[in-house]
Parts: sequence; C-alpha cells; structure tokens
Amino acid sequence: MIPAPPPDAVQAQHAWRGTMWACGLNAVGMPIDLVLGRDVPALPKWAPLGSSAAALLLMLVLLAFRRRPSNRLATSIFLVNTAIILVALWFTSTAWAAAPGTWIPFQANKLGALATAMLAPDLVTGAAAIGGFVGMVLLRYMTLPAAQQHRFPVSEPWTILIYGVFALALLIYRVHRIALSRRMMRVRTESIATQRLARAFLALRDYTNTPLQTIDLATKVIRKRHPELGPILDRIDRSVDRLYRLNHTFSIYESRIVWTEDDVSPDPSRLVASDLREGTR
Amino acid sequence: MLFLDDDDDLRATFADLVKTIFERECHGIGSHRELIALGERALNCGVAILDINLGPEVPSGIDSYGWLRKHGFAGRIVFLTGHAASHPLVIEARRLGDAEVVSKPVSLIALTSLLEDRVPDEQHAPQ
Repeated sequence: MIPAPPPDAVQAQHAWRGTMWACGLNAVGMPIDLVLGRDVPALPKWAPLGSSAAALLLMLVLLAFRRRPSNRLATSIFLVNTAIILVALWFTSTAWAAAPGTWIPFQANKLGALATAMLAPDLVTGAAAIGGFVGMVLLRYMTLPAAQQHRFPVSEPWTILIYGVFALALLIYRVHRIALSRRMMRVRTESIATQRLARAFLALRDYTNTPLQTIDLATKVIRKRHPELGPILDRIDRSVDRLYRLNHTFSIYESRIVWTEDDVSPDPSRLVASDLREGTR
Repeated sequence: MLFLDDDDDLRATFADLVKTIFERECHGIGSHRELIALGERALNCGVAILDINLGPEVPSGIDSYGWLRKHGFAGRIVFLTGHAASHPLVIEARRLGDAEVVSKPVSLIALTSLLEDRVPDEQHAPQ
C-alpha cells in the first residue's frame, strides 16, 4: 500500500492546481475580451494582451515548480495574476464605458469573483481577490465622469456586491469542504496504519506462541528426566514467562483488527515479513 | 491421546511430555491427511487436541474435528490455538459446542486436567 502524502503536500498540490487554472483562464480569457471589444473605440489592446502574456509567464513559473509546489508560491502567483487582471480591466472598462451603445458593465469582474471562489488556494487569498474584483468596480465607477455613470443600467454597478457576497459564500463552503475531506483522509490513513501495526503485532504473537509452547513443554520433560537441572530450568521458565507476558500485551490490538477472508488462514511469517516490508517503505 | 499440530518440534515435544509425565501414548500428527491415514487408531483415542490453523490453504483443525465426529469419535476434543479470540476460525471453533477452545500456551496444570478428563481450571479464551 502506498502511504498517503502529508497534508501540507496535498494542500500545496491543490493550491498549485487552482492557481494554474486561474492563470490559464487569464491567458485565454483576456484575448477573447479583445475580440469582443474589437469595435470599441480606443480599447487599449496592450492591456488584455499584456495580461495574457503575464499569465503565460506565471504559468511557466508554476510549471518550473510543479515537482515541489508550495502554498506560498501558489498564493503569491494567484494574487499577482489577480492584480494583473484588475489592472487590465481598469483600462479596458474605461474604453467600454465610453463606447457608444449599451454596455452591461463589469461582466469580467463578476465572472472573476465567482472563478476566484472556485480556484483560490485558501480563504484569505480568495477573500482578498474577491475584494479586489468588487473594489475595482466601485472605484472605477466613482472615477468615471457623471455622464457615463448615468448611462449605467438600473442597479449597476451595485450588483457586483451581490456577486461578491455569493462568491465569498461559495469560497467559504469550498474551503470547509476541502478541510473536511482532508480530515477524513487523515482519519482513514491513521486507521490503515493502526490496522497494519495491529496485524503485525498479532502475527508476531501468533508466530511466537508455538515455539514458546515447545520450549515450555520441553523444560517440563527435561525437569522430569533430569531433576538435577532444576535451577537451570527455573531460569528458562522465568524467561519464557516474561515472553508470554510480552505476548499477552499484544492482545490490546485484537479489537482493532477487521478480519478479512484473506486472514482466515494466514501464513504468519509471510504476514510479518509483508508488514515489516510495508513499514520500511 | 491424539495431538494434531503442523509444527514438528511442538508435536514431538508434546508426545515426549505425555509419555514422560503422564505415561500415556500420544499419536502426534501434522495434518488432516495424516489423521485420515491414522484411521481407527485415531478414533480409539480418549482425548484429541487439535491445532485450529494447520497452515495456509490446507484443511484446518475444524475439518479434522468434523472428520472425527463423523466417524464416531466419542472422546473429548480440545482446540489449541495461538490465534486471537476474534479470529474467524477461532469463533467458528467456539460455536461447535461440544469442543473446548484453549489458547497457547497451555500450562502443565491445564494439560493435566485435559488428560484426566476434567475441565481445566486454567481454561481460558485465546489471547
């Protein structure tokens, strides 16, 4: 059986994967924004392209550390990626707001907040990123000219607050679910380890019972045939008794074993050897 | 007396003990097949001590118990085991009703009781 990786390693792998997806969405999503806004006058092309290029660079950094991922690296890259997106959206939203026609404002920010809830490496990082998407919208709105503000649909830009609350709720739910699965995995791993230990101890006890019984009975035979060897046999008896008592202490592991069909007629030596092999891996 | 155990040394020592201390004959056999080969001589014994687990993928002491009873063995049958009380074979042996289960190590006092057809004072569940 392959031992479960330590909880920190699992967390780091999880954070690494989420951050990679976040960078991937930035790399792919920003050029799409450019295509959609091809008729928007003065849309700064450098912003989405730069954001996409930066995301690709961050993905390369993540790939370089794929063998030894860390929470700190994943968290840092996730925040940098979010900051890059926010900077790009800041500039593109100015052009979108000024463009003729109806604009449903800050769609990318709403999507970003929800995506963060699904991909953030941890609660604090996720909350910070969601706060960034919401805060940018409000700040951008307040810095737009009044004429552009009046063109916003009813309830905008305040719907971003609802998106922010929903994203936070989803993030909290997801983080709790991950924590629960991790606890369950730890309990399961401990249970498997205890079972393995219990089986090894009991196999050892069963394996030694017969030779001890042989020594014990052999001393009785010798004592009868050669009474003059009594003092020597007394020492053997005391030693055997100590081993019996040691064997008896292994009884506490009995209740921890769940017997399977394979255990009905086990070869103790094979079982001990197998368990010792597992233990040394 | 009949003693069934797959360990050669224990079997030989047990036979020596029974002969030396109790001055009785002991048939030591190592497998279910040897029991069948012993046939009538096995069935004429007064006490049969059977190891429960005779090794992987071979008939167990419980199979030998079944053979003895089926062929009219009227003596006392005692299972001797080094396994845990929760082991499936030990549980099965305890359910048989007319056989006792004694755990290894069995003491000389308990052995004396068994051979004298008394309930051993030290009879205890396998540990």
